[in-house]
Parts: sequence; C-alpha cells; structure tokens
Amino acid sequence: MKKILLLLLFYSHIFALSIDESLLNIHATLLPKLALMDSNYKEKLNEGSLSIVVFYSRMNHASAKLLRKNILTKYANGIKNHPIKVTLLSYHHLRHTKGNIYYLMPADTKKIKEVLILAQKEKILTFSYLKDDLAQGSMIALSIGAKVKPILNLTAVKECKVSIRDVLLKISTIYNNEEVN
Amino acid sequence: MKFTLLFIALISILYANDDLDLENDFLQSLDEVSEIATKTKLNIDDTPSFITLLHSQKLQKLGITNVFEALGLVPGVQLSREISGVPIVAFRGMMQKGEVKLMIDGITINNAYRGSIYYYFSFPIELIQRIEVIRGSNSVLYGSGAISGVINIITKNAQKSTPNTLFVSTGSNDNNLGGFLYSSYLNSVKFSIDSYYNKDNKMIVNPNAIVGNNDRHFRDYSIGVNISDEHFGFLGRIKSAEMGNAYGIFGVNDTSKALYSNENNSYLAELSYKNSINHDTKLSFLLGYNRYEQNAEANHPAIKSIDSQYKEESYYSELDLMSNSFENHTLLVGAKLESINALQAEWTAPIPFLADLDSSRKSLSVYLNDIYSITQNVDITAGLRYDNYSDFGDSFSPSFGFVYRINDSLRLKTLYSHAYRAPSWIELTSNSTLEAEKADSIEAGLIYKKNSVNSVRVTLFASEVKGMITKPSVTYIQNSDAQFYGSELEYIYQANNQIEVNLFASYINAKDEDGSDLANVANILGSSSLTYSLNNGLHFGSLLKYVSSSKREVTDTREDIKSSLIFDETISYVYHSISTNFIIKDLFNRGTYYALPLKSNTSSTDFYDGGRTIMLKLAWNF
Repeated sequence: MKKILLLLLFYSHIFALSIDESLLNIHATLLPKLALMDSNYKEKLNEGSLSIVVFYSRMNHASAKLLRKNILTKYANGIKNHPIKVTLLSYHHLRHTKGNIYYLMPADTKKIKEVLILAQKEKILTFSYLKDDLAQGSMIALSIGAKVKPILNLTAVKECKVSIRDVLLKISTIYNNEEVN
Repeated sequence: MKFTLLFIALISILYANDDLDLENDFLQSLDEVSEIATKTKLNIDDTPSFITLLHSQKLQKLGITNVFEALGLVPGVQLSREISGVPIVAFRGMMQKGEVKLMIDGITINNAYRGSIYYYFSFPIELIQRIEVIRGSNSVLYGSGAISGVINIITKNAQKSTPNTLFVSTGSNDNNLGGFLYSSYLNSVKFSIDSYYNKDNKMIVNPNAIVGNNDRHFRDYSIGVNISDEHFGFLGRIKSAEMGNAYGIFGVNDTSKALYSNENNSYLAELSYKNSINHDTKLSFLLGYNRYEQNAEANHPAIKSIDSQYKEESYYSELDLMSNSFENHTLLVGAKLESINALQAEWTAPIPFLADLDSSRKSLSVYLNDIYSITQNVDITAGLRYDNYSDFGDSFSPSFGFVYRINDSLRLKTLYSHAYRAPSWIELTSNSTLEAEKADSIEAGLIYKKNSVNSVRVTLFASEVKGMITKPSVTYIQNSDAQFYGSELEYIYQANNQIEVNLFASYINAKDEDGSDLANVANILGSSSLTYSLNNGLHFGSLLKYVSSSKREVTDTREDIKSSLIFDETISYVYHSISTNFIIKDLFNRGTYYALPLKSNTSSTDFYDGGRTIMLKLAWNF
C-alpha cells in the first residue's frame, strides 16, 4: 500500500482533462450561431467569412482539430451566406487576432485571462468549453441540463463593450457570479 | 418626413424579422443539441435513471483494453468468471446469467438460447466511443433482461464524425491485437468500416490439472460497417470469439487442448430511418436481423466428449415516436415485433445441454414513457411496457421517476421500476413450466456538483427478484426469491483542469429468502483512479481496484473467498497523431482470483487468473 501511495505522490506538474467529444459536437452546432449574436458581426468578418478562433493547449490540440472539423462539416455551405473560417491558435503563441468569436478550450487560469484581455481589446465575443471560465470574465458557456441553455456573463459583455442582440438575452440564463454549475 | 418615418419603420420591421429568424433558428438549434445531450447521456443527472458513462479516451489513459475491464470501473459492478473461464459481469450482487442487457450501438446482443453476452466483452476499447451503463432495472425502455443493468457499447464507427485510426498492440501471454477504423464521405453519405483481430495464448497455473496448465487462450475478431446520411442508416457487424476452457466445464480439467473449444459467432444488421414528422414530433423506424451460433466441444469423464452445435436467428422491427407536442411533456411511444427461431440444435451428450430444435418465439412489445416538467426544477417520469411472448406468456413493466433540481449544485432523484427476464430456451427446454423472473427496484440518488471541480453522486438501492431461475442440479427450477440492497458513491475531482481523480465505493448486501448471504457476492467494491501528465504529451494513469472477500455456498466449508487489491499503471505518450501506451497490470503481482465451486475432480483452490502482465500499444489517428 505504501508503494502505491508513493507512486501516486511521485508525480508533479500535472495537467490533464478529458474533452468530451459529444460536448464538442454541441459546441460546433452552436458556435457559428452564437457569433451571429454580435450586432456588429458583419464588421468583424474576415474577408467575408465568419471567423471563429479556437484557443488550445498542447493537451487538447486534437480536440481543437476535431471541433474545427465538426464546424466545417456542419456548416459546409456557411451561414447567412458567409463562409466559415476556423483558426486554431495555441495559448503559448498568443497574438492579436481578429475574429467574430473566440472559443476557449480548457487551460490554466493565467492563459484564459490573457485571451480574455485580447478579446476585450478586440471587442470579440468569447465562448468557453468550461463554465468555470465565466468567473474569469468569459462571456458565454453552456448549461447542459434537461435542456441545453447558454449562460451569459452580462457583466463581461458590458465590460468588453460588445453589442449583443436581444434574442441572446432572451434565451440565456444570466450568469450569477455567486454560483453557476 | 413621412418617407423618413416609413423608411425607419420598414428597417425596424426588417431587423425585428431578422431577430425573430435568429431566435427561431437558435431555439431550433438548442432543441437539436438538447437531443444530442440526451442521446449521448451528457445530462445524466437530469434523468431519473442511474447512469455511468465510460469514455474510451479516459479509459485508455488508465490502461483499460476491453469492455470487460471497463465495466469493472462501474459502481456496484463485480467482475467474475465461470469455471470454464466465461466472463461474468454482476450488477449489484446479481450473479445470474441473462439479468444484464447488452447492446452494441443500440442493437441487442442477448440471445434467446441462454441470454449470453460474454463473447462481446472482449471488444477492444480502441474502437469504442463510450460505454453507457444503466445501473438497475429499466424494462420499460429495454424489455426483457434489463433487471440488474443495461450496457450499451457505442462504437466510433457509429459516430457522425470521428478520426480514422490504425492500432496495434503486443503483450504478455502472446497477446497481439491489430485493427483499424476508416471512414469516408460521399456528399452527405458517410461510409465507415472497423475491424480488429486479437489473440492470446494465456495459460493459468492449476496444481490439479491432469496435463500441464489450464487453457485460457482466446481468438477474437470483428468487422463492422456503417453507412448513413441524415435520415437513413445501416449498421452491420460480424463478431467471432473462440476461447479455452480454463478450469473446465462441469469442473473437469482438460486432458488436451484439442478436446475443447467454445466458439461464439454473431451477425447483426440493422436498417434505420429517422425523420421529423413536424417541428415537435420525430419518428424512428428500425428493421433488423440478428444471428447467433455456438460451437462447443468439451471432455467429460463419464460420456467422454460433448460436441454441440447451436444456431438461432431473429428478425425484428421497431417504431418509435418522440413528441414534444404537449407543453412541458416529452412523450415516447413505441412498438416492437420480433420473431426468433432455432436453426440448429445438435449435441452428442445425453443431457439437457441445448434448446429444442423446434424452439421459436414471437414477441410483441408496446411501450410509453413520458417526462413531464411540472416546474423548471421538477420533472416526473412515468412509463409502462407490455410484452407478449408466444412461448411463456406476457408481462407488464411500469416505472415511475422523479428529478428535483434543488439548486444549481444539487439534484435529488428517485426511481421505481418493475422489470422482468424471459426464461431462456435452455431453461424452458429443461423445465417448460418456468415463468419470467420479476424484479421490483427502488433507487434514490443525490448529486452534488460544484463548478467543474467536484462532483459527488450518492445512490441508495433496494431490489427484490421473485421467481429466480436456478440450476441446483440437472434441471432448472424456480422456487427462490432474493433481496439486494446497498449504496454507491462516486466522486470526481478535476482540479484547475489539471488533474482528474475518480473514486467509487459500493456496498452490496445480497440475501436469499432465508436471509443468508448469497454466495460469491463481494460486499464492498471500490476503485480509485488518477489521470495526469507531465508536459510535452506524457500522460500517467494510475488505477487501484478493491474487491472485498465473499461467502461461499452453504455446503462449501472452505474459508471465504479472499479479497483483492490490484494496482495498474499506464504511461502514455502522444506525439502529434501518434500515441503509445505502456501498460502494467497488477504491478505488484498480487494475482486475480475468482470463486470456484468445490468439485472433487478439479482444483480445490479458487480460479487463479494470473498476475502481472505488460502491454505495449501504438495507435495512429489520421
């Protein structure tokens, strides 16, 4: 038993989270439609394409690629006459990137905050894989219960000065900083 | 001015219409993804059933290689083996055959002959997307056999989108595995095929063996095909498994490998059509064919050799309608027709070893299940199923469930269900007066989830099985009841997205009608796992499994079956699309033991299934 405990305690520098592929599939369905919820989305198009930027860490690079594949398969003909462009960006090589929406794969809090600062500068909507990121200032995440519903961090939206359509307010649960699970 | 006002009004209407379109479109998408969440069991805590989801991605990091090993991580599930080496998965202390329903991509595996499912337990984890496990009864939706649990293996092949993969592995006991999954698209039509071949020459030490050690080898393969578009689908699969006899059937050790084989073949094909009748109602129609074959040879001291050949086939059709037409209701109405016939039943042994050749069964099932959301936080579920069988009568199975979302962190749910198991043909051939086994179960659970970091699920259960079918000697009889109660605890911890710890513990109390403990049922089961990684793609997975001691049959005076504590360690490295796993099972070589009945002509010890093994796996995802 001692040997087992020693083995468990041996490791440091830990970093792992299983990404649920079904959840990615759901995110792929909703991401382009959430991007359209920005009233000024047309101004942020990239050469006429709706632009989704996916931030990933090395650990979830394969999942980021799967998300891109799912989005491009589901929206092969684009949305609202706009082709869709999905860009993958590593958290370790952050740079100012224009886009309609930023998608945040799980990462440590420091990296998440760095991306949120970028989003604030560019006035870009942010959508997180994890609801926990709302506490850091991400704008949208999903609540998966009996029904799937967006959770909207209205404070973050206001701080970022993104103008969102009323319909998003109407269909979302408003994030309460105290408790969202 | 008038023109200006008119222009503004027109623009407002256009924008309002645009918003309305967006709203309708988005609401439709939310319905669509809610359906995905239900189908993929993402919202298991909001349904009254008690479900465990096993994701292959996570399982591979823990060194799990097949379905049998994966099921050992489900709370309340005890793994065991029959004397002949056939694997047993016992849910909540129910060790009888046929009381667990197994499906692959929704297609039922249990046959009419014996209700056998074990030959699918060797299906490799590399080809699996996830395994959905319902702990407890659910005959309303799954019919006969769903008494103690329902297992649904969801393959990657059946997914709309999944990476292609090529994998090989090698390890102890000459275990070699190779397989692939490949998919391609032609417009909106997806074609995919998976296949594998796995062999093992495992021998296990038995001091009482007449010649050498006991044979636990297996040869196993499967080929699966999926062709699908938005509405139509075809799933086909061939599976073959051949295995050694371990400690021998009838408790007789082999004198020669050549005298024994147990080969199971399965052929499945299912056509499906799914479409929306209107915005609120969806239709699903299935048409399927299922064929099962078993060829078994064995040695017996009195009658020398047993050679049996058995074949059966079934045809079925199923129609489901799912509707949200009534406000706050999600209604499922369905019907299933099935016809099963024995095609071959030949044996050399003068004992009731097989079903009759003229065995046939026609069944009609109708079922209804409604989820009614009384308020935003309270759902009640009511279901009823009626089954009529041509060979033994009919059965009604009601269920009633309740889910209360106390707050964002806390859920309370309860479920009552009545379930049944149709007697198998081998049981009916032995005793034509047998009726269905019936079970009544009550379950209650509390779920606590704090952000994405901590999840705790506590479940209490109590079941009573009436008219259990047992085989004390040569003939099957039905004169006993049994009670099962206990609790299950699951704890998941994901700290700062950096580490995942899973703990589960189960307490099971299984008693016969006289209040005596049922034999071979471990009272306490537990497992803990830790997945983590160093940077640069190196992962570590640690798994500790505990099974407490268990009682023997009343007539067996040996000491209790001893407890076991096994530790597995897995090291994985991912480099771009290539991944490797180095797995050490039973690192401290403590050995796995299963209960063996006391027989004068076999080992007086328990079933020793070997100790430490190692395995190296390599996979390319493209």
